[in-house]
Amino acid sequence: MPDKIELPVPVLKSPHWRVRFIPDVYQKELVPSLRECLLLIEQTKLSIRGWDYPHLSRRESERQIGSSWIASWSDYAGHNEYWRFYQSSQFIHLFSIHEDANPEWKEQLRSTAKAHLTWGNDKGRDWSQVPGFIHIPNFLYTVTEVFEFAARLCEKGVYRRQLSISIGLSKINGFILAHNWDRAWMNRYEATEVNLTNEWRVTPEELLSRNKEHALTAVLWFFERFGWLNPSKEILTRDQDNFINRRF
Amino acid sequence: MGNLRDGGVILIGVAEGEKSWEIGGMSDEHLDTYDVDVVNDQVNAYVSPHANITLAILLAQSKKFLAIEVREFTNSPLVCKKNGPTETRLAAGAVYVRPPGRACNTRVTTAEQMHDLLELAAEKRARRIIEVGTRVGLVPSQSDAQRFDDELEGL
Repeated sequence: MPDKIELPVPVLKSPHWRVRFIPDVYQKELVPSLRECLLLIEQTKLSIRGWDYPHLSRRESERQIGSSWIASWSDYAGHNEYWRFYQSSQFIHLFSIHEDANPEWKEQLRSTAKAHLTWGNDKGRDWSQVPGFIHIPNFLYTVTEVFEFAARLCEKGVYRRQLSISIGLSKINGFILAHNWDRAWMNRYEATEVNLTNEWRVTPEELLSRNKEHALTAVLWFFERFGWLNPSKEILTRDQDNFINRRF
Repeated sequence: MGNLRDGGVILIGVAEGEKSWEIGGMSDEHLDTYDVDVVNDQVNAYVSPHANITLAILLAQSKKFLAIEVREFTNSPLVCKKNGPTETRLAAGAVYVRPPGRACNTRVTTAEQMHDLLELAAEKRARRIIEVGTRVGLVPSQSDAQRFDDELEGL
């Protein structure tokens, strides 16, 4: 077994997400064939915004078939990602923090944060030294996509019992939560850890009936680790509903 | 001892003196009077559901000793099921425990002792349920988690 797999895209070299679905029981060929693995992804991926979750490249050169898994990757306009779906139904997805990997977006967030956070300790702050930003709506949308994707796999009967959904952010020390210009924003919430990871165990029934609530729980867990202890659930739920209904 | 976490061992052939232990050992005749089946029968005539006892002869300093190992109860705490001879003070329905650090058995008379015993029984029962659940696949076993990790090949 190799110590470390050489990925076709450099997603691990910069700040990134790590999402993993782990079923409770290992069954090597739960999904009988690799063709069915591919079909499952095609049928369950989310296409709510311009970039699918997970993104299944149309190019054969950005797909790979292993002994028990299928993979796809991309490196396009800040969308740097790699995922694998195994016949055991394990799913792993590594993808860049888009607002960090996309230079224009990053500078836009830097400029917005600079304009909003001009009080107290942030007065006179050298914003060029802030390593990166987490865009709050994008974070909410991404976690919502993760849980919805898991729910859709449940619908297909892939996950029949308890499922662990692990979500992690890597290399985010010093990253600051940021919002759009049109949203009032006066507090600085900053990550003090290099990596943040947590795992949520859910049943298919819970995922199918309340996946948005579970996603919100996960979002709040991360926001707390940035020091944001009292976000408005009402507003986040509304933003989440708007996203699901494509009103964003 | 059967109601004690990890059970205990009774060592025959030593005696506690004023300041030191007397390691006298046992004579062969005395040893012959101990038979595992007889001991089990005699003890379990008073114990419900069942005390798990094993005997072993130990050799040390050219002397023989008998070790009686009493294992911790399996599912339910051990209860005295019939009255014993007057001098034993064994009473039907009573529960006996061995207080930590003291070489004596006492009848459970305090709420604290009973709570400790019930908690031990509950923990053992919970562990048993998890063991069975893991075996039949209701609870993810370590090996399953490991298999999923291995499958990633370090990814």
